[in-house]
Amino acid sequence: MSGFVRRRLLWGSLLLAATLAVISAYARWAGATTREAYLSGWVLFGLMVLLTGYNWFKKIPYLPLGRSEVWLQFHIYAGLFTGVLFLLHVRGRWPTGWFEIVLTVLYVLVMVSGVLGILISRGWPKRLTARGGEVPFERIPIVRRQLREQAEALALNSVAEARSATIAEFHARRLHAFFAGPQNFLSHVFEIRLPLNALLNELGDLNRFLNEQERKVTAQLVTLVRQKDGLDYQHALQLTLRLWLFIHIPVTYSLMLCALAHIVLVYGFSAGVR
Amino acid sequence: MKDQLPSPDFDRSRYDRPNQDWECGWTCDGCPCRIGPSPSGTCRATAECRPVLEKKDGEDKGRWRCTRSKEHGGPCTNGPLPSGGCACPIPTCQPRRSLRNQRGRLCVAVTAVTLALLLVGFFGPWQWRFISAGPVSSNHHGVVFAQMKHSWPGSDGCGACHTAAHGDLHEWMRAAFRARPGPFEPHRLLTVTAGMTELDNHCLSCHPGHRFHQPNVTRDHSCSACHREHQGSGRMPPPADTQCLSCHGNGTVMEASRKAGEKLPPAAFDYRQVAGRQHFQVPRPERGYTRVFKSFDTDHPEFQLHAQKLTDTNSLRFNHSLHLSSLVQRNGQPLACADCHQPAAAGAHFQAITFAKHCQSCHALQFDARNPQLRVPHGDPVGVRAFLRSLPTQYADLARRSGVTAQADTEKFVAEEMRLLRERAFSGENLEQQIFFASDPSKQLTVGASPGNASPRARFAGCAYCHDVKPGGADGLPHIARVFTPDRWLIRGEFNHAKHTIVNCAQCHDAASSRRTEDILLPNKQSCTECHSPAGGVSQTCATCHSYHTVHGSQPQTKR
Amino acid sequence: MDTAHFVIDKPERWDSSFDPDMTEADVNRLLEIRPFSEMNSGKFSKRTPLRGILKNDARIRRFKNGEIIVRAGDYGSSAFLVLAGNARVVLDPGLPVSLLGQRKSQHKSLFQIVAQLWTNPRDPEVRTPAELEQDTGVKVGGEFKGVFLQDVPRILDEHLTATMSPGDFFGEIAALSRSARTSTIFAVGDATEMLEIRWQGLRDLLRFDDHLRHHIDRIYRERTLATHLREIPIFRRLNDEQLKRVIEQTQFGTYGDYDWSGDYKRLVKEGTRSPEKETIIAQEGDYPNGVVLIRSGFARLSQKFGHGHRTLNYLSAGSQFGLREIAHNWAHKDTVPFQHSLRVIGYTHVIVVPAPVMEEIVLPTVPRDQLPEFFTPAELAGTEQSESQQKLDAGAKIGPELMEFLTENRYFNGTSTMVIDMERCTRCDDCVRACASANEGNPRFLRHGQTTGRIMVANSCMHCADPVCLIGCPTGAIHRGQTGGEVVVNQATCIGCSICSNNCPYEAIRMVEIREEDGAFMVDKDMKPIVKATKCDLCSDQLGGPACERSCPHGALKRMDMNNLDSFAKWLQR
Repeated sequence: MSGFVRRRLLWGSLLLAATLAVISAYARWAGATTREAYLSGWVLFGLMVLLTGYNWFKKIPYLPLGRSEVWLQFHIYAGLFTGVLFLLHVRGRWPTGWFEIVLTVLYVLVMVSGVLGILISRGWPKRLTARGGEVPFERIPIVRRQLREQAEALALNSVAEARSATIAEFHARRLHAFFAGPQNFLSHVFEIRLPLNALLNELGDLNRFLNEQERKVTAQLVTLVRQKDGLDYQHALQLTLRLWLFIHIPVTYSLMLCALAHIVLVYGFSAGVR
Repeated sequence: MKDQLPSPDFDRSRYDRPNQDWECGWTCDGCPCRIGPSPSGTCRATAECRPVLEKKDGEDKGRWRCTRSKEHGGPCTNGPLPSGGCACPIPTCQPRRSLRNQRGRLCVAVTAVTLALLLVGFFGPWQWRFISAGPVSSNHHGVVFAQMKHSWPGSDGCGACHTAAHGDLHEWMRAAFRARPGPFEPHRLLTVTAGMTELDNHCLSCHPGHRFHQPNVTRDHSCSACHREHQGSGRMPPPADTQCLSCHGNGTVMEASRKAGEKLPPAAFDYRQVAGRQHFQVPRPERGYTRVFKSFDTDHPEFQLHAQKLTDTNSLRFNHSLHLSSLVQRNGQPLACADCHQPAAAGAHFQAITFAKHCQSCHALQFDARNPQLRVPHGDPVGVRAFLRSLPTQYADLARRSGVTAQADTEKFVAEEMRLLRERAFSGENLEQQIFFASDPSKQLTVGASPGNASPRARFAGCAYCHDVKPGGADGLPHIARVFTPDRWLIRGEFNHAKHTIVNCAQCHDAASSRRTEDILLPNKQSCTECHSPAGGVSQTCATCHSYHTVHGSQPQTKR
Repeated sequence: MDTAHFVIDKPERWDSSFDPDMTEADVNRLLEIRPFSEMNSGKFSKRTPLRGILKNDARIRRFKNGEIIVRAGDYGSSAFLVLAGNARVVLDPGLPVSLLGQRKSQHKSLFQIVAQLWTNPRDPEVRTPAELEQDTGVKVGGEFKGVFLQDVPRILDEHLTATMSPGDFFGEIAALSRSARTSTIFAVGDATEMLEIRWQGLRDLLRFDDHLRHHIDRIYRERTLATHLREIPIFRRLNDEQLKRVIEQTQFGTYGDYDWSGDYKRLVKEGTRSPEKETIIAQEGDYPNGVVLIRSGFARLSQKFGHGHRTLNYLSAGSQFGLREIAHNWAHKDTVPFQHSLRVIGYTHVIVVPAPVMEEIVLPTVPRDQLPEFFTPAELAGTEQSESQQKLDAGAKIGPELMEFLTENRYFNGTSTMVIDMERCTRCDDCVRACASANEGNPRFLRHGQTTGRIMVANSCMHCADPVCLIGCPTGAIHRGQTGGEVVVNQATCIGCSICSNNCPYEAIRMVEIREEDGAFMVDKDMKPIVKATKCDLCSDQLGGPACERSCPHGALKRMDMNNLDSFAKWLQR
């Protein structure tokens, strides 16, 4: 059995055990008093603090506080466990007070963004690797510039050589924008080849107006267009792999702040466990 | 396809630095300068080299030399300007924050916005609406409550229950620390039980009187534990079974209660009398009501009436079976339950059975078959004696009422009747005795129906036919045992007949087979669980029948 | 703000001499003793005269009784010439580590590590004056705290030692081949005096003078070879007489250029990295004429496959080739030829013990059960694979494509190669950031490199078993750490000549322009920026090992020892 499967089984069974334990504890204590809401609330809050701490752990890599891989596994499974705790805490019902709705919405945002995040973190590297043409994110603009300059050079040179501005005009009309910056973000995210195929078709259609020499140029332009498309793919996926955390992390801080306020309100207005 | 992209040219001097906060503004154009922005985000680009003035021996002016290093292209072709400045300035840029840095700033911004919104929410105009955990039930939302509302802070009268609502953040914090267990004592949550809190004391200001349950309760239960507010804008939901079972399903608590009950005097458990209502007195079991059980249909104890095989100790003799059989008829029809048992006002229970309303129409106490209009008065032996001793007057009165006007006729009538009576009973006292003590229907006093009568009369054999008559009362009168017909048989549980109209009487009350008064015709638990069970589909929660609030003690029951 | 420039003096090669206390008188004295007395100073180049070498690249050290001169296992870069007194070489088995007082590597203290939170500079490549302070070298005499063995007579009693007397040379192979010291050597008597020559000096001496080279050769044969052979199990049972006969007939050879990286790069440019172009040490199908023992460097073990060659493994120092065939032939009177080919990759130094020697002298002393596994007819026919074959065939474990990839790119050299599983890497750069945090805000590797399938070998120093970068450093700034074998660059002594960076075949060393604390570039008098060589140092001054490995959230990054492909195969299939 692969190590990953074994690890998943281990953590999964831990999660299952914890879930069963907490559900049976809830069944035992529920209803008599409101203390199960307090207990589940505190455990939930404590876990959320630990989960939030993962980002801070990453800022001190020189201290031997354990491997990031293990922390991430804890983060994922403890995060899923907070889902169980949250459902128990709210008794499976959508809240009716405004502030509590805000809390729930924030929590759901963090949870959903986290689950989506781990899904794309596991699935998209395979896409990137399969596509090939790996470029580190900071270098993408440099490569883009190179491709742009090459395309421009080809287009301009073709005017002089072939004494016809067809390619140059096509470049100005269609390719300039294409090479200027990152393109077709959503198409790349959803693996849609339509824009690339459309552009390549247009280039192919152009051929009927070109002579032998110019056709060589368009062949090279086709290569460049494919390369640029590959670069855009890298950009789109790598950017998303960075941007999902722009939701997950800031909303977490907002959630923690609201959770603190919630604790104050609960203790202040409920006067204790009944 | 690995040859799809050229691998970027990794020049030797450049590391990628994702840890930097700022990156050169030319990066997205593809040519970041080598100097890089300062840590605070200003562009530091100047020129490509710093020319050096070289003076050879003998020269007095010297030449400026370009000092650009080999990696960056070596000395430039044109060399420095004559003034000593570099001729190749590096174009400045507007440095950009790195993605990581932008994310950090977004976090700060989001936190600030959240804080601002929280402040607006908690201290702004919609403060209470925002904080409230949900709509308040209609019990606490009505006209009466609204009228009282103005005396409490909070736009919706939050201060009526929540002390914290009387003030601002300070007050909330203080209230928070007054909570038991407090915010810094989460470990106490494991052992806490629900007692009265500050919140519950507020309940008592309108709903006074605490000890709501049995006198031998060992564990206090807070009001708000069972009566949950903020559950929706309808009526407050009834308490959940788990609340009740937290004690009644808990062996330890029940045992403690039992012991406490043994120490209390029996008088503590006396029923509270409600004016005009008679309760069937069920003796309190030895262990009190401390059996542990889980739900109604499974192991809720059998009703005491059946479990202890109690009997009706009513002194009045009544045979349901006879009255429901075809032997008894009215208007050609046998009697039905509803002929005697009529619902009271709300329909939950029935009007009390009285002689005048329910028995007299058949059992008219006629002692003289020839004169059926004459009837012994019911209810008091003194009145009966008085009547009997004034029989001539009664007969005279009867004659007059029948239209006999002449004095002589009346006297004749009276004399004739009295003579016949004397023939039968030999003396007035004998008659009196007969009327009081005779109980044998075969020797009834009235001799069957007179020819003029259409309906069969119920027999009147004597008071003792129905009552328990014993000699030795005051003034030589017999002692007739007081009739005690309970209005309520089940004290601790509420039964509402109006809700059970789909069931007919005989399905629960087996009157047709009851011949003795001492039969208690109430159904047993099993008859209830036919419907009130998961299988039957009708609610079987504790609150369906029971109320926590007590039937003992002299305090007036709290208004519900 | 202007990039203000800060002017300092550009460092030179002999700015930090090995021992600043070496005087002209010392040099004169040395020139009068062998082998320096026999050297022709005219043969030396102008930039590195003999006197200069002796003055700047050598020092005289005095040892007391029991003081340890070199420790087995340490990575040292100097050779020793005994001037007076004598020293003992502890033969195999060596002294237990507890007696040797291994020095701890220089970790930062816990407070310093935590303080990195606020002390890491925000500008890239900042050097504080403290870091640039020149290492003034080790003081000799009483101030130098040597490590002493406690009970010399008992050690001499209990352990087998060989004596070194005046005129003897030792440590040169370890210094020149960039490998660990093979034995512990300690001084006997209080008047022991050694001349320690660091390897830059030794290299120049060997280059310009034949005498020393022959001298070292002879000593090597007499001393070292015997020790080396004794380390190999199959020779262990030979008595002295037999061993002497074996040594007399042993041949040894060096293939490839000592400085092989230049060759390799040229080969890369020409696109000719295929096995066919590599020098063959032993050919598959040839008569097995001797056992090849690899002393240092690497050799590729390959087998014919189709029209090409399939790489099974690469053999490094300590491996043997051909023993199985020769033993089988001797036992069964058979004539099984070499089953694989052995080719040179880079630089290989081998010892060949001829087959007759093996058959007549060595093999008869080996008990039957210790002989290598014999060939079965099925194995020879190619239909079966024996256990020995399977153990050897690393290529099958990790996949032939990956094997070729590693060998072609010479990645097998690495003891700590950074391998990234691109199907798990989310390109989050946590590793680069962690590396930067652990190195004053400067990342020391590039998260990019050659890829095959899903494996990418990132551009990080691999801490090679055969570190070519060490060749040519004029000041010894780049050196092997005391323990663990990581290769580090001493920032203070680095003069920025770029030789190491140019040498490194994997472009793992980057020259950076260093800055002042306020972000201004440091320049010399000519306004040229001061550059220093930078590379990964395996976080040797931090707690907990390399930060990059620990910080990958998805387990995509691993530093693998390419000499142990079993663990690599396990990681690939995790």
